[in-house]
Amino acid sequence: MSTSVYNVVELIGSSPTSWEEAAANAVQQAATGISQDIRIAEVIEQDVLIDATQIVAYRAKVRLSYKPAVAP
Amino acid sequence: MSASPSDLAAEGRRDPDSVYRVITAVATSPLGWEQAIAAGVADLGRSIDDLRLAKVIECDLAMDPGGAVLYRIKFAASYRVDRRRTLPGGVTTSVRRYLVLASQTAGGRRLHEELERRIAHGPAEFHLVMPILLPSAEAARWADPMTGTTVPAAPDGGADGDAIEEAEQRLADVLARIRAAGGFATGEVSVVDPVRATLTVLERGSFDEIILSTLPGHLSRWLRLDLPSRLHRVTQLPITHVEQAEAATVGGGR
Repeated sequence: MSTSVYNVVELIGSSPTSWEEAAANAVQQAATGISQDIRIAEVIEQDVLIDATQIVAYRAKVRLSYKPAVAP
Repeated sequence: MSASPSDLAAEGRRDPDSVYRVITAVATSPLGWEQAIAAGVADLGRSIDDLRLAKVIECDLAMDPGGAVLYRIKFAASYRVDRRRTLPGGVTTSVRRYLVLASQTAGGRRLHEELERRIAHGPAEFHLVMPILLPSAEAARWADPMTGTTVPAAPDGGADGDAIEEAEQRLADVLARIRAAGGFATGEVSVVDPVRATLTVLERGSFDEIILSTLPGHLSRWLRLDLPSRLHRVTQLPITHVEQAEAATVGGGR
């Protein structure tokens, strides 16, 4: 019987315009720095940073999982 | 993501002993959740001066029978409620906060002198609430003076829209004068009755004193409604009452 092991990481992406872009930033970062084999990223938290009455950043925390490059 | 101490320290603009209050709000937009929260934050920012972070609690869609989609977002915004402030140069001080209630007499000389006395006394923050009677509510006011003003009928339309715009201009002028005198000032125009407007503001922030400015007794609708003692009863805050004959010089008010 084969077993699978996945790594799970959480990343926070940020964008001045949207959570979509914030999440995409985080995922792209992960794709270049962590693993090419990322299939799904789940948005687990969203917030905004505010200065006075203006939103200065949309932030999205994403959780993504991938198979480690070398199976244990 | 959350306003954890390490997050805030990393931003380098808060001291560790600060106290925050969290307010939950729902905002909608036909365009998207980002636009909805931007509108919601802008609206809260009219009466809260120190918003820094809003966490999203829930996003959903509402659909009307015609099939048009409305994006709704529920969020928790946090803002500072303690009285410590760090001045440029790193000195920490404590401020006093005053809620100023004035409609026709906002910008009047005697009120301004009263505020200047507070500023001379020590670091002061003012929040000016300017309740106005909308033209559409004016007729109803004679029937029931306290509740007749709460009808927010089409606030962006026609005469009502003009009245709000004029009041906001007048508010901006008065706030600029307070800032020029050395006070930190925010403010809002309100279309609900003065007691309700006050309670709404007190839900969002805490104050040391209420400064109420009215026309002299025989001319003042607020005094006929016994506003000073009503306010004291519902807020338990010290009330300072300023009477002045002159109405504001800019704009008409009512």
